Order: sequence, then C-alpha cells, then structure tokens
Amino acid sequence: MAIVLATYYRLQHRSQNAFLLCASYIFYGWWDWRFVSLLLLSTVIDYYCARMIGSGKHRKLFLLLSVTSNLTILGFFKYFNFFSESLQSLFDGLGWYADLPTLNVILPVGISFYTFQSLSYTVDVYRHQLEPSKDLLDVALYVSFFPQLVAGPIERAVAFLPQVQRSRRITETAVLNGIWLILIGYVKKTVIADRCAQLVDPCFSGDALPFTGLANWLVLYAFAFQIYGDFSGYTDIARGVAKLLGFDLMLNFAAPYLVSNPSAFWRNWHISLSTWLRDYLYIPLGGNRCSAFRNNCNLMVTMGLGGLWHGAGWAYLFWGIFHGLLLVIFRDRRRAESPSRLQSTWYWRFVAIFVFFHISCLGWLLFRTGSLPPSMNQIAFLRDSFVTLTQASSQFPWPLVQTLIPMAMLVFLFQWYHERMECFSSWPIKAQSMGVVVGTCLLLVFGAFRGTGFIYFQF
Amino acid sequence: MEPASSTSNSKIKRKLLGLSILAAVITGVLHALRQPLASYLTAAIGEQLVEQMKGKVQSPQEFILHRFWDLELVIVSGLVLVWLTYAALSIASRARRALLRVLWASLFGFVFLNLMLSILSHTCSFWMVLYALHPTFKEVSFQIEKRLLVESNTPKRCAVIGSSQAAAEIDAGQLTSEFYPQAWFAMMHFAGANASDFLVFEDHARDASADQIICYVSQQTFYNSNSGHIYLPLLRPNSLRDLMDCGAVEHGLRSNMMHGVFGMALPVYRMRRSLAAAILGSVEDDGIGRILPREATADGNAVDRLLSRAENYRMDAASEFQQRCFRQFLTRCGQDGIEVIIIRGQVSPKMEAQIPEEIDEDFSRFLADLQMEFPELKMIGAELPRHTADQYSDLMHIKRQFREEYTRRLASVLQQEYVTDASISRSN
Repeated sequence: MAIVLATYYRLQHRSQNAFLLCASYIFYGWWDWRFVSLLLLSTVIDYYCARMIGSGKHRKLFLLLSVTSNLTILGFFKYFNFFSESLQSLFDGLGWYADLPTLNVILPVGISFYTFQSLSYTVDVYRHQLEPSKDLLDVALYVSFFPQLVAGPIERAVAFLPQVQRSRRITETAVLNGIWLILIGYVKKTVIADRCAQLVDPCFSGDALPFTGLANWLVLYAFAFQIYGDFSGYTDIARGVAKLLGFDLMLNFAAPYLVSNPSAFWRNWHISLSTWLRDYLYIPLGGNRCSAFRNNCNLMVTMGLGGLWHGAGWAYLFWGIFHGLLLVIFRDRRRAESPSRLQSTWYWRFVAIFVFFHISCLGWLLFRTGSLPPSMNQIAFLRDSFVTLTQASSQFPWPLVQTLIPMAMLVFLFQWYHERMECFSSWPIKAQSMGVVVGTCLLLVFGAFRGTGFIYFQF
Repeated sequence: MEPASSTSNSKIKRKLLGLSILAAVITGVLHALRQPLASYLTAAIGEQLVEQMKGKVQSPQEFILHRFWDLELVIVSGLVLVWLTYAALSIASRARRALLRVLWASLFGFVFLNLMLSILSHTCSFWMVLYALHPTFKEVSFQIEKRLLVESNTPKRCAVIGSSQAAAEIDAGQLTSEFYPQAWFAMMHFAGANASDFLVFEDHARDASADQIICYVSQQTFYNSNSGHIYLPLLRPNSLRDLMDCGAVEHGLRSNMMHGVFGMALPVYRMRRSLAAAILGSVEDDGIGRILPREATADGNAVDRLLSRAENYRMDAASEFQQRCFRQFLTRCGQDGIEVIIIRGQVSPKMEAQIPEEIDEDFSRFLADLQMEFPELKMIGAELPRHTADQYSDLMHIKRQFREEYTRRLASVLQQEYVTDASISRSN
C-alpha cells in the first residue's frame, strides 16, 4: 500500500489511472490469478455494449447482451450447483430419477460485487444517465478499482466514472479523513468483529446453540456486532484508501441498529446493495407505483433475490424473504394507519429500536447458520427463549456479558456518531488527536490480530 | 483547521493552573496525613486485609502506606503529563499544515499515554484494580506479587517460579507467614512453563531485589516443546540478547520475541493481555472454552491429554535449547548475586509411568551436571513428601487440601537446609 501511494502521488492523471488499473489487477490476481480473465471479460463485454447502446443501434439488444452475460457469469459460478442440487432434491421428492450434474466450481472472489457494478454501467448508459466512455481503461478501472473490488461498496458509474475521467486533487482534508476511516475500519474489524467471532464461531459449530433460553440471545448479539464490525469495517478501510487516492466512495453503513423499522434498516445497512436493488430491480418491476398487492410482490421478489445474492443457499433466500415480509407488514401498517402522538415520543422510539434490533437478530440467526437445521431455526429459538423466561439458568454465561457490553458500546458509538465520523477533518485538533490516540490504543490493546478473514469476501 | 485562539489558550491555562493547585493540595494533605490515616485504616480494616490477602500482606500499615505512595505518584505524574500534553498540543497547533498538526498532536498524546501507563504499571494499586476486574489472570497476579516483593522490607526476598504445578503445591503466602519478618516469598508462576521463561524472568527478579529464586522444575520444563511463552509482557533487552544467543529464533520463537520487542517499546501493547482480560473478561487466545457449558467427560479428556503429553516428551534440539537457557539463567543469577534453589517437581505416578525412561535419566543427569557446574546451586527433592496418585486432581496438580502440608514441609526444609542466615528463624 505504501509503495502504491508513493508511486501514485508522483504520477500525472492518465498515468495514475493506468497505474491503478495495473495495481487493481495485480491485487485481484493475488487472490486467484485464474479469474483475472473473467474480470477482464466482464469489463470488455460491458464496455462494448455501452458503446453500442450509446451509438443508438439495437440499444435493447446490447442491453440484453450485457445483462445476460453478467448474470450468466454470476449464475454459473455462484448458483449452478445450488440449482442443480435443489432440482435433484425436488426430483427425488417426486420420485423421479435424474442424475443432474454438479461441478467443482470455485467461486471467484468479489464476483457478486463487480458483476453488479459492471451491470449498472450499461443500464445507466441505456437510461441516458451517463455517456458511454470512449476509453476502455477508464471503464476497466471503474470495474476493478481495488479498494472496493472484493466486498464493495457497489459503486455507480454515474458517481464514480467522472472521478476516474477527471484529474484528481488529493487534499489534506481527504488524506486526514482517509487515515481516520482506515483507523476506525481496523478498529471495527479487529476489535469488534474478530473479538465477537471468537465467541460466535464455537457456538455455531454444533447442531444447537450451547446455552439455554435467553443466554442464546447473547450469541446472536455477538453475531450482530460481528457482522456489522466486519462489513462496515471493510467498507471504511476501502473508503479510506480510496480517499488517499483522491476518490470518494459512497457511504455503505449508517446506523442500522438504531432504527425502528425495516425500511429504515435497509436505508442504513449495505446501502449500496439496497439502492442498487431498488434502482435496477424494484423500480423496473413497478416499485410502489402499482396496486398494493403488486407492490408487495415486488418487495418480496427484490428482497428474496437480494438474500440469494448473499449466498447460494435456501437459508439466504429465506433470510431475504424474512426481510421482505417485514417490509410488507411495515408498509401495509403505514398505509393503514397514520402514526399516533405516542409513536413520536422518544420512549416509543427507544422501545421500537430495541424491538426491531431483536427482530433483525432473528434474521441474523438464519444468515449465520446458512442452513435450516430444526434446532436452530427462528421458531425453535423463540420458543426456547420464552419457555425458559421464568427459569433461572444456573449456567448463565456472565463472562459473555462482560465481553459484549464494551462491544455494544463501541457499536452504538460508531452508529450514533456516524455522521461526525465522516467529517474528522472538521473536528477540533484536541478531539482529532484524542480520536487517533484512542483508536490506536483500542487496536493495540483489544485487537484480535489472529482473527478471521472478512465475512463478505465469501459473497 | 485553525490553531487555537489565545483566549481559549488562556482559559485552558487557567484551568490547568487550578487543577495543579488542587493536585498539589491533595498530594500535600496526603503526604502530611498518611501516617495517621494509615494507622486509622489499619485499626479499622487491618485484620480483614490480612485475611483477604491470604498471607500476601503481613503488615497492613506498611501496605496501606505504600498505597498512599502509589496515589501520590499517580497524581503528581498525571499532573506533569497533563502539562506536557498541553505544551505539546500548543506546539503541534503551530504547524501550518493540518495533517502535521494532527500527526504531531496524536504522537505526543500517544507517547504521554504510554508514559502514564508505564508509571501506573510500577504501582501495585494499578494491578490490584485489574485483579479485582479479572481475578484469575496469571499475569496480573505475577505483577502484584512482584510489586509486593519490591515493597517488602524483609532481609530476605525469595521468588518462587515454575509452572502451574508450582502454584498448586506451594503456598507462598503460607511460607511468608512462617518466615516473616525475616523473609518474604512471592509466587510468580506466570513465568516458568519452560526453562526459557526462567531466563526472561531473571531481569524481573533482579528488579525486585530478590535474593533467592526457588525454581520448581520437572520434565515438562525441558522436554515439552508445547508449553506457552510469556515474552510479550516480560521481555527485556538482556533476556532478548540471551535468548538469541541460545538460539531462540531457530526454535520458532521469533514471533513471540517480536511481540516482546513491541512490548518493550510500547507499554500499552505490553499490557494488552492484562487490560483486555480486565475489561473484556477474555484475551484473544482464550477462546470461549471457559464460558461454554462443560461436558461431563472434561476431566477424562484432561487426563488423556496429559498422558499423551508425557508420552511425547522428547530429547531433541528443543530440549537442548531449554537446557542452554536454564544454564544461562543460572549464570545470570550468579552474576547478580541471586541464590537459586531447585525443587525437583513430581507428577502423579500414573503420569510418571508414561514418561520415557531416557527422559528421566537425561533429566537426572542434567540436574547432576548443573550441581557440578554451579557449586552454589541448591537442590531439594528427596526431602519433600512424595505424592500418591489419589492426591492429584488431574495428573500434574495436587488437590488443594494437600498443599498446606507440602508447604509446611518445604518451609521446614528451607529453614533447616538452605536459609543460611543464622538470624532468620520461623516466626512460631
């Protein structure tokens, strides 16, 4: 990273782009050199499709070609075995003999991210929101930009391509904010996510959670903190590195655990994906400019596919459907009744946030298990919690509470002040130095340096 | 980012002056009144203190006086560092570029925080606060014992080191109660799973002005390459040099030593495990093992594990490395005027039967060679009672109820054989 920056700052604009492109491909090739060609293929197809769409000839055909090729690549590498095995199970259940093939396919790192990103380029050109780029290098850099290549945020061409095409001035403000984002990203990853992972991973290694009743909620809280710290930490590091290179990446996480309804949750969690799905799937399906029934169907389809995007498995699909149901119920209630005065009070909001946090934790149960064993589904979990509500658990894991309280404080601190975290350069100098010192000490003292990789790399 | 205005600077200066005056008043009052306060507190809580501390406090008045000293040190050094931080921030705020201002201010703040932590870590009170938050963390107990050893004003100061076996068999508090006010014993078993740990520990024994080190050694000390290492909080330049001379890098200890080097430079990193244990209740390699409900067969698993460990004791390059480290440890003790007593440890007869015969022979030969090479070295083994299999909770650690008797016998041996100062006698 230091070598990349040192070289980058010495170059002119076009050379910077070429240098970044080489660095991005080397970075990606380091993961697995075999899939560099796939990245290149996806880029070249979309570049030429966008040029043809921009020329006005057979616009729909080339849009279809771009969408089909991207989804085919994604579908083959990510979903082939899932559909094959699911069909096999269906045929077996119906008593039909069919030996469907499965392939030993490795999932290329970041494929879900860069195919969506690349797809958004051609769609934006088709919608006349963007002029097609005449420079393949610019498009290639947009698709392969290394800070956000493997785990997002999923950038829009409308926002990112102009940054590639114009010369960039790297200001002190950007460098300060970039360094700060990298620091808090590492704090979120090594202090929150990896510490919680040490609690969570052994608990999910068996067929059932290890505690009884309410104590199992502690494990869910730990996973909720882990996935937030992991994913938002990676995004912060990516955005920080991008700032050091003169780029602005979009905000991907705001305050997802401080919201009181599912609609607000998806405006705060993985914002780049939720807005992508809204703009390229939900709205083309009709969005909310149709009947209530059709609107609900659009929501369920969008969220279901959004869940499936995360992983080729029924659990992810059901997780998406779970959130779709929450959205449907929320919107139906909002249509049916207007908010009362009670609902605008702070204590109602507090209760609503508390309740919704627990509902989203139930969703994380499905997400973490990645499968649907009877002992770990949400129904069994809830039943166990309420059955033992009045029973004292002799083995209540108080040490787990001791670990989770500081984690919870950090998570809510980052979310409560997420807007202020974005403008570090405008803080008073005492606050800036205290922030850097505290962040560094948190890393040095509490960072779990022998931690795991990033969760979202597997998507 | 604009540098601070002169008005706000004056306000801050006035606040700091007010704080300094307050701190000076508090320190002055404490200094003037600490004797009468200590007497009052001794009368009020002295007996409970002695009982709670299980032999680690023999003179409550002295213990309380030292706590007042800790408090004064913290107030004065804290104040000095606050002024230094203010001065540093003023200097940093004059830098023209915002980035440089932040970097300088952060660097100063980080350095002063480390200085403060370093000062705090020299007080027993700091470690006692951490102990209250997490009583079972061995490193914290080690530091408390070391500080109490430093604070003791007995003519003889003795550190007991070894693995958890040593802590299971020897009650240092009981030894202190037996010999006080002539001798003080500190159980420092955090360092001692391997012979190379002893080498690291020697610097700390010298710092604590220890006259004697009782080393509890067994086959595990030299022939078990899987024991943990404790370089992060304890490594010093002397021991780093000695470890490298003995060949630690070739034996896979490079990473541990690197952590130790960072720990030497950064007190906040050096204390990371203690701080994490106190605040989070766990350290990164703890796992959730101690929180998960235990299986009924856990004890059976521990026995199987220990038996297989004994079978895997090896005479190889790693055991030679441990022996080299131990020799170097004895050499350094001799140079620093520290007397060493070796207790040949024992394990359950069931486990002893699993240890390869050549290991036993090599171990005995090694100890005999040490006695010839270091004539002032003293060894205890045969004089102490042999444990039977039913006295062990697993295969290596005796049950608590047998500890008192073993310690009493040890005290007797120490008194008769090795406590050479004629004026030192047992308190009863």
